[in-house]
Amino acid sequence: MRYLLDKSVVRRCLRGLIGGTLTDDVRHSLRLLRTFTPDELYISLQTLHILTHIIKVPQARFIIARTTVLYPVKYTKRWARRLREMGFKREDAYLLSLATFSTDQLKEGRILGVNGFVTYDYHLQNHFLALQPQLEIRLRRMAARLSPPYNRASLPTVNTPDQITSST
Amino acid sequence: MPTTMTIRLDAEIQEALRHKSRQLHLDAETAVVQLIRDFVKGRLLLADQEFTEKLTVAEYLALSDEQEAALWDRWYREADRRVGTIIAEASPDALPPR
Repeated sequence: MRYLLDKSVVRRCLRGLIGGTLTDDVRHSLRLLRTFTPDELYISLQTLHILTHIIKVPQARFIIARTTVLYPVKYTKRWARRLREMGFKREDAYLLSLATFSTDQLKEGRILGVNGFVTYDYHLQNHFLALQPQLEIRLRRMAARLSPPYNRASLPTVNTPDQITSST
Repeated sequence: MPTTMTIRLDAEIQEALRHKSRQLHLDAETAVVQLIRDFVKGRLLLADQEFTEKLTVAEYLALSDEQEAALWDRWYREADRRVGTIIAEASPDALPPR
């Protein structure tokens, strides 16, 4: 299974690693980081930039070592535009689109998308669940016109870390 | 009941430890014991260590969840501008999620 971690999850991992209070959400986020391997957990380029260029503690490097960067592909922006039309905020639309249209290398990427987007944004999760049937239809319609592997694109699930770790 | 543990340190580090402890108005043993206490509790950093250019670890940890989230939102927008447009290419036989 492959999961894209939202920054709301990454920041909780970091808070736990630097000695912050181990609240339930911090514990669940750390458990996720420790349960899965780096080829199962992904972060966006934006999160990578925050961890490498803005945050200066070594624990940020630990998170980078435990994850893989997910790169956008040529259809990421197009699907993000569709998601914005359906009421998702700019950043949420981009990350949900990245979960569908992305790969693990700049050239000859070996994967297409991830199984799940992991977040603590409950508003986003509820909005996604409410629109899921319509999103499925729109994505199927768009993907049908694309060449392989993009015609096999699929919607991710949207879960919190505890929903993921409790099912493993 | 406290027991004794011997730690070998280079002379240079010992001198630096004494110097730093004097600066902090602590004796060296108290400083090391405090560091060990923090370490076993999972606190691996000194509170005044730089977290970002403008925040120490202690200041960051003192933020409320809302303040921390707002900071990450700002960092995300900055990162988004810096990352620019990168487009990767998936192999035709790239694996979709199972």
